[in-house]
Parts: sequence; structure tokens; C-alpha cells
Amino acid sequence: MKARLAALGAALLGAVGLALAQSPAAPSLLLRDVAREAGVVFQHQASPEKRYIMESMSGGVALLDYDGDGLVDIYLTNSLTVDTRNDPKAARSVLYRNLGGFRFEDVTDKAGVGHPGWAMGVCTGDADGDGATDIYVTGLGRNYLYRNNRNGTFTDIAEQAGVASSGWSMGCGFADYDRDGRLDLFVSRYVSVDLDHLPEFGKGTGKGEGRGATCQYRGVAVQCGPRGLPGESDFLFHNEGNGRFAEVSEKAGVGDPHQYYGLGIAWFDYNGDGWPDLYVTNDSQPNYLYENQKDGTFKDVGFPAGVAVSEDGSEQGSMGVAVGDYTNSGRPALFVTNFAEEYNALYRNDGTHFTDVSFRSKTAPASLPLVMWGTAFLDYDNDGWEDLIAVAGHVYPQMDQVKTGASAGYREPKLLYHNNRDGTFTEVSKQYGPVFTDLRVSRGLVVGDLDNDGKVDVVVNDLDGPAQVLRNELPDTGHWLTVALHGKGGNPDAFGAVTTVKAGSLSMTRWVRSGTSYISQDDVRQHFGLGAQAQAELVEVRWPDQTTTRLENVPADRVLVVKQP
Amino acid sequence: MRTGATALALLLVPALAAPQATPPPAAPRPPDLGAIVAQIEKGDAAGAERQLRRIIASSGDPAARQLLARLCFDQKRDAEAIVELRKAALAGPLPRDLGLRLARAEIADGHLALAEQQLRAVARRYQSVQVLMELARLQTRQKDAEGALASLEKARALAPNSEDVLNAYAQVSLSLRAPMPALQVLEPLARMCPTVAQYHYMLGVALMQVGDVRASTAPLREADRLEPDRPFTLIALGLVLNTQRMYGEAKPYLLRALDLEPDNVEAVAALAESEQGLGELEAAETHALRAVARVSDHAIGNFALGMVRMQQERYEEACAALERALVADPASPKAPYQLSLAWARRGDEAQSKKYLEIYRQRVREIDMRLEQVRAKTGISGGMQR
Repeated sequence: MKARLAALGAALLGAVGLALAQSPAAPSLLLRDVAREAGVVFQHQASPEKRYIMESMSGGVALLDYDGDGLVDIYLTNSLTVDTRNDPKAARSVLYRNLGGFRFEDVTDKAGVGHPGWAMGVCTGDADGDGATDIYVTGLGRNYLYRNNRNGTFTDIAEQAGVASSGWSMGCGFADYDRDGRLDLFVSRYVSVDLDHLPEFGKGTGKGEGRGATCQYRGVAVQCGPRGLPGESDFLFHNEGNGRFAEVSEKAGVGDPHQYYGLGIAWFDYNGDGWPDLYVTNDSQPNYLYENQKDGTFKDVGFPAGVAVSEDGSEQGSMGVAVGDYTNSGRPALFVTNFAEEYNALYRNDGTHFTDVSFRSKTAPASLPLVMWGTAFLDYDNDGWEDLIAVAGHVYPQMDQVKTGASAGYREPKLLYHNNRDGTFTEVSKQYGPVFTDLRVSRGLVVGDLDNDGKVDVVVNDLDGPAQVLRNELPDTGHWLTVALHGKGGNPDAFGAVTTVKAGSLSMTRWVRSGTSYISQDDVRQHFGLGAQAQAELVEVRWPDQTTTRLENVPADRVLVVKQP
Repeated sequence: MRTGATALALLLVPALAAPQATPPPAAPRPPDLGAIVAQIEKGDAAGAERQLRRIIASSGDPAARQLLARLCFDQKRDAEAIVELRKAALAGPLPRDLGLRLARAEIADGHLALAEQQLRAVARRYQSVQVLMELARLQTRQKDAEGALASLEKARALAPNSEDVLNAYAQVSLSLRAPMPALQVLEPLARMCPTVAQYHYMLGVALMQVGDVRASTAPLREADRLEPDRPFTLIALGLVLNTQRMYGEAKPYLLRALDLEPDNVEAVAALAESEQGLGELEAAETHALRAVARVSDHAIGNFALGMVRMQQERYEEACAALERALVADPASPKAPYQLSLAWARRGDEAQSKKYLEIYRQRVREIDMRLEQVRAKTGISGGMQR
């Protein structure tokens, strides 16, 4: 009897031990939403039902240092809706000036950047070569180029500069594609819509192109499109150097003759030849990878390079795109966010081509139920290996009525992938609590160091909820180095520059880019986690003109400003 | 014996009554078979048979042959009965039951054309759902897809809510890889009979056949829930989940299918595909090789092997395997897409472009097929974006 009791007790203890072992640990602190206490009280205007496709796609966000004080400011786009379309003041995009210490001030009205209409995306760059960062806002109807007047105010010069565009623009990014020393501008465009003849919700006119009805989703009436609606071509504007840009899309071979539904864009040098190439994500259609031919023209190599579609040849609903060196190989990989029941594609750069390693890297499965948008590579724990973050949210509020299929509901969680340093990632969002697991309808996401403490923070623009300012409060992170490049001439941000940092066994590469994530703009400064290394043995900058700057034995834990000679 | 004889008689009456009501003017007077039926009912089968044989010998009367055939059937002398029925059928249409028995005998003897002829005659005369279904089965066996579906369409017109007819219609459609007609009946059938696993399974298969794999998952899961551990369902689930790249979910179904049927090549090949998707290259290679060793032109097995070779950067071997996959499943865009990549990596732009064009054509065909399905059935996989 005694033995039996002892055995029972042991069994019970075992059970208790098991229960203890399985109880979920309290979430660790990584990112804390400090938006309200920081003074960022932005909420995107939203129509409740999203009866029209234009009401589901906005939400760009930019990190920029518009006043040159070394602190990254925030600009969030806001868009009109069909109901408010006749009131241009109804939607207010907001510029927040960074006062330091995670305090921000709404300077929109003074700056004059509050009402760019149906604003969608945003990118930054010095369009007029005066050394100050300008803001370009894409939207429906026309785009805005806010020239920085260097006194805290901006002036829209889009019309006179020739970049007001037309139709429905989404992504944008500056790059000096012909290396003439001036920043050019690419703009992706999405769907052709006529505000006076909108397709009827749930019924619409969405027939054509062999695609069939587009206004139902699993038997539920939803907004029409994009399928069944005509697409729009993309624009490349060449900087003529006289304050004006010339539209050269067709001549340059990036005019999108198929009129695919363009969204995210990424300027980056995929093959390391020193010339900016261009990646464009297209919703439900093949993505483009335009290889720079070094003569002012491009050639679409998306298919042979293996980045146009998914591994099994399916066209995915591609939204955002991140560029990063997650393998520390010195080659830029692409991470593309996609629609629900598709997977976020991680394309590893193998030099001359890419390999879709989405499943092998273990990034794909968690993304399958989600519609994902803003995304970035970021080293959130400063261990020297780039991790990944992506935000989600469906386009149809009616998703909550849909009972079948693998899709999640309308509001969706974020994903955070920790780099395992072996080509794979572990999805760790649940370890870090409600900031990640709360269900939201997010769009733009950007990363940058808002308080210059060496830890990468995150800002998210939500379509149906307040914007988030996510402060990185992870304790015990490694050493770091932030590299701020000052280019010369008409490219003061040094877009197209490549920075490599070597520290101990780490060799990390970053690309300075305009137009990132989903229709957004990351902090242009380059962040490097150094792990246990208290200094970088080498910081090497390859400038856009292919000259290089080498700095040796750079102490860690600082913002390093490097000026182009 | 008594019961059988009574049944014989009952069956005989209407057949006899018809010619008596409207005798053809020039025809000889028919023999009085009623007396012979009475004789049978009294139990004098032998005497009745003697009389019938006399009548047949003298006039070849088809009604007498039919009655003799019934007598033979009743006495388990089927071969003799069939001989008489064949001769009777030459003279005119047989009653429904005898026509069916003759048709079945002809099928058993391999005389499929004669059987079809008989069934068509009976079907024409009696508008019988049962006969139409038999005819459809025979036509299916003869690979006459359109004929089978036409027969079952007639059966559906006669019995639009008959579960048996709808089931047969769906089965014939699916066996002939004609999923569109199947979908039209399976969706309501699965709704009308929600606890029948088979209907959910067939609905899933039909949706797979038209390429709407997303929509096929739910009915297959339901079939598995209603009737677990059925290898076909498990394999189908594995296949559709693989197609949706849900490799981690597909793998347990396929492993279970292999527990139940260790040599099932479909399960082995699909498992290789799951493993390849999950990055388990060694296991994927082993299973893919095992599948193609069993069936050298296996589409999925070769595709999985091709993908493994792509990852190993053994592009020449990848091309060979993917080429076999393309031949085995020419409608799929997957193999031509990967072939376009493989050739690009081998530096042959012309070949790469060739396969890219094939891929694009396949994508267009799938889009068109899906739209047709959705337009006709209203079933939507939900992917309108």
C-alpha cells in the first residue's frame, strides 16, 4: 500500500512537473507601443465596410530626418474615402517632429504636408539636390512632391517638377539609376478606377480578362477588384537637373506594358554590378525584377531570376518587399509579403539568380492564413543577424463572415522571425506578447532607431486603428553601430550606397534605399548589430559612384556619420 | 418454387396483354400461353416446358421463348434461358427484366455491343432509371464518356432527386475525369446527405480535378472526419494540402496513408513532395526515387525529384526529372516553370523562354477552367484577387 501511494505521489509530482513545464511563460518585452505617450495620436480614416478597393490599400509611413537634427521624424499618410471624397480636408496626413526621448510633436500644419488627398504611399529623397530631404506622396488622382524649404515648411512642387503623375499610384522610390549624380524617381501604379463610375459592391462590373467575377469572396459580397479591373502602367521619372523630371518609363523598359497591379518597390543592386536594379511587386500577377543594363534601360529578368512568382509557378498577391542580407553573404535577399492562402516568399540571392527558400527557411507556413503588407529585415536583438518582421490585416471586413478556408479574419496578428543563423528562422511573435498577437489591420511598417539608442524601433500605420510607435525595449542586446551616410552632389542620402561592416566573425552588408516595405520609407541610416564585438574592424562604404571609403577599428555603440569624399 | 412461379406469371401478364389488345392484322394467332402459365402455377413445370418447346419448334414464337427462358431461370438453368432470350430478342423487344438479364449475360460473355444494343432497346421502350444506369455503366466500361453521361442525364430527368442516380452520375463523371458535370450534382448531394463521407470525398476530388484545390480541402476534411483512415481520402488531402503548400499539414495524412497502404505509390510520391517543401531533402529524395522506381513516369514523383535536384543544383538531372513530370502531367504549370528556371541556370535562354511560354499557356488555361467552373457551379475557391 505504501509503495502504491509512493508511486501515485511520484506520478502526481510528475504531472505537476509536466504542468509547470507546459505553462506558458510570461511574454518577454521586446517592443512596447508608446505612441500615445510619445504624442503620436494618429488614426487613419476608414470606411467601415471598405466597399471600394481604394479604401483598403492606403497606409504608408516614412521615417525621415527632415530638419537635419539627427533624430528621425515620422510621416504617416491618410486617405480620403468615397464618402469624404469631396472634402479634401477630411483626411489629414501627419508629420511628427522627433523631439528626442520618444517625444514627438505634430508639425503638420506648419510644415504644410497635411492634405495630399487620397494619399497612399510615401518615400523620401532629395529631389532637387539642395541637401534637404523632400517627401513624395503617392495617391489616387495625383501625387505630391513636398519640397523641403529648410525652414520647417514644405511646398508641393509636383506639378512643376513633372511628377504629379495621374491615376492611382502606390509605391515610390528615388534612385540614381543612370549614375548621373541626380536622383530619379520610380512610381508603381495599381488599378484604374473612375470615382464617378465605381464598380458596385458585391456585384460590380468586374468581368473581363478571363478572370471572371471579382466582387465575391467565398460567396460573400466584397469590394470589387483588383481582378476584373484594368491595371495601370508604372512611371520612371528621370531627373533632368533643372528642377524638372522627364517621364522615361517606356524608353527605359520599366513602363509595365502588361499594366500589372503594381504596389511595393525596391531599388537595390541585386547582382552587385554597381548599378541600381528595381523590383516591383504586383498584386495577383508576376513581379518584375528590372535589371539595369547600364545604358539607361532595364530588362525584366523576374522569371529567369526566379522572383516573379512562387516556387510552384503561382502568381501571388504581392504587397510589400524587404531587402536584406540575412545570411551575411554580402548578397541582398528579397522577402515579399503576399495575400492569404499564399505564402510570404523569401528569395535567397545566389549571385546570378534567386532561390525560393520560403519553406526551407521556415518563414512561409505562419504567413499562409494572413494578408501581409509592411515588412523589413531588422536585427532587433543586435546579434549581427538580420531578423524579419511583417504586419498583416485583410482587405475585406466581410472576412469575419467567411467560415471556410484557411484564411484568418479581418484583423490579423504580426509576425516576427528570429534568424537562426543557419538560413532558417523561428517565428517568435508569441514570445513577445500582445504587441504582436493583438489583431489589427496594418499596412505600412518601417524600422529605424527613433531614439538613437542602438535598438531598432518600429512604426506601423494601421488602416482601422491607431498608428503604433513600437519602442524596442529588449534588455541585454548586443553592441551596435548605426551608419549615417552623407553623399555628395544631388544624392545626399547616398541612395545606392552599400555598407559592409566586419566585426569579429560577422560580416554584414546593408543597402541604402528609398522606397521600402509596403509603400513606405525606412530610416535611411544603416543599423548593424555587433553582438559581443565592442568595435568593428572594418566599415566599408561603396558609394553610388563606386568609390569607396574604408574605416578601421570603429568603436561600437554609436551613430557613425560617414561623408563621401 | 411456387413463389417463383407466381412471380413469373405476374410478370408475364402485362407482356402478354399488350399483343392481345392490338394484334397485328397479318400476324398468326398467338399460342394460348395462359394455359401454360396456369400449368406452371399448378407445379407442372416439366409439362409446361414440353408444350413450350413444341410451340417454339412449330412457330418460333418469341413469347413462348420468353416464357421458356423464365422457366429456365427459375430452375437455375441460366445458360439455356439466355439461348432462348437471344433468339427472342431477334424477333422484337424483350420485357424490361428479361432485357436486363440478357444484357447482363452479354456483358458477362464479353459481348458488349450486343449488351448495349439490348439495354438501349429496353431503355427506349420502358424509360427505366435502372436500365439507364446499367447502360451508363456499360458505356463507361467502353470509354464512351459522352454516351454514359447522356444516359445518366436521361435518368436524372426521370428521377432528379434520386440519390442513386446522382451518385452514379457523379461517379461516372469522375471516373471519366469529367468533373464539371460531377460538380453540378455533388454539391447538392453533399448538402442533402451531409453524413455520407463518399459524397464529400467525391466533391473534393471533383474540385481537385478542375484545379480548385482550395475549395476541395473542406469537403475532403469532412470526408476524413466522417470516415477516418480511408487511404484514398488521406492521400487526396495530402495532395491538396501540398498544392496549397501546407506541407506540414499534408505530411501526417500521407504518413498515415502509408501506414495503411505501405506500397501506395501515390502516397509515397506525395510524401516526397511534402518533404521537399519542408526542406527535408534527404527524405524527399529517398521517397521521390522510390516513387519513380515504381512508376517511372509518375508526375508528382518526378516533380519532387526535379525539385530536389534543383536544390542540389544538379540542373541537368533536374531537367530530366521535370521533363518527365511535364509529360506525365502536361496541364500543370509547375514543371514548365521549374524547367524555365533550370534552363536559365544552365545558361540556355532559348530553352528557358520556351518553357516559360508553356508555363504561361498553362496558367491561362487554368484561369479559364476555373472561371468556367465558377460560372457553372457558383462554387468559389475564394481567390479572386
